[in-house]
Amino acid sequence: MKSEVEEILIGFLQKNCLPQKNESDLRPEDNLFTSGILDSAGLLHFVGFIELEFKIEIPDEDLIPEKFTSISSIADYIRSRSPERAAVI
Amino acid sequence: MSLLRKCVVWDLDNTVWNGVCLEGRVTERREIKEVISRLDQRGILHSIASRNEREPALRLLHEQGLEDFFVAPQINWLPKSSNIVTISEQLNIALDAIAFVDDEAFELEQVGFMLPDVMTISADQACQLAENPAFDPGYSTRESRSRRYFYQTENRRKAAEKKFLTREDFLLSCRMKLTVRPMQEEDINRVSELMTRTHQLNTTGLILDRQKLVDLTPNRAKDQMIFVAELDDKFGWNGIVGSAVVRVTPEHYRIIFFALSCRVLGRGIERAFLHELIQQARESGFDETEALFKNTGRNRMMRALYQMSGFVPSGHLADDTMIFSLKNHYIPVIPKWVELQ
Repeated sequence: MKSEVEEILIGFLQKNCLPQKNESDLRPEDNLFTSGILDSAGLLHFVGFIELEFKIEIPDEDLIPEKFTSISSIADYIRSRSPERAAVI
Repeated sequence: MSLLRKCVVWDLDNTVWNGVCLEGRVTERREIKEVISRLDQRGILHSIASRNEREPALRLLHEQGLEDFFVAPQINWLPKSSNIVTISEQLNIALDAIAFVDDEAFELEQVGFMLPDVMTISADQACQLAENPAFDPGYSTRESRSRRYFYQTENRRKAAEKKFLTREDFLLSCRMKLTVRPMQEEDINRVSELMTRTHQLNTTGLILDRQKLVDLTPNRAKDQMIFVAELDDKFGWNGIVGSAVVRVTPEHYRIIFFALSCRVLGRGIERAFLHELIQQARESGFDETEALFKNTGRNRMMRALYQMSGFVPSGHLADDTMIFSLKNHYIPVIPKWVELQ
């Protein structure tokens, strides 16, 4: 069961990192780096989107594997940073 | 200071040729062809922003033997400023490294107003471009002379990607082979080029002059080594796409410079190269790899790379350069589609 935060993240990745594909089996727990979906540049692009979408600022020191490896870890991170916004959506 | 330009965006009618394509009567401008070819030799890319019908314009370019010189041509009726932005995005070249040539004062003004970082040049001045220092990197390398070829093979890569269901399958199909080896004398110009041309994918902005680089070739160096990473895939030769300077003392194995060509972004090459350096540190008996990061305002990506590879901040140098370290029992995941040689 995907949360709405996860749906938003998957939507972005499908639109921007998997063009012309319908990779509907992108699962929240998948490693975004070993699957080739993100690399260093893609990650920063994604971080920029998250900052705008969820109105949070992500400090450089938070860009670590525990927080940014999979959709679900990123969603947890967003919820911890933006409880009000995450509760609304 | 005039910044080095990496790409010239050309208007067509009365600029690249005399006359108007849609009206027929068009003649060659030999001197422009000559300039285009000379800049191409120096590794400067050419593109097009022209208000025209695409097919007849491309046909004319073909007839004049110019077609192959241009990458990402924008031939349509959109404002030239938006076409230049498209070119900048497609080629991954910043606006302050782009020049625009047109015979119409209005177009030059419009682009200059919307995109002040773009250098604008009137068509009657274009014959002198080859003498302008902004179009002279001062040296050339195998890689710079192949730049246009690299962009053209990149287009074939993108077309091929569409045939695959997942990105991973596509990357595996490319059969990438990355060779990491000590820099040799003949690689010096290329390493120098990576030091001066890369900004986003550059950890510290370190620039060493030629003599210093010569001093760091394998049989001369004492405590510092330079590595280069050369990439091949099924589409052809990609050249030296990365370079690293490592300082090795009895106390530490420290990566003081690490840079990659943005041409290979999106293929996990940076991770594979970094992994190889960590492996070297291990094999040399160090239980920790150190890496320096200096914030230049444009290189956040490299800090993210270190952190996402398991490096943690462990101190600072006097000038605010950050020291990151990685315990060597922790080996970052390397992309399985890159074969290390």
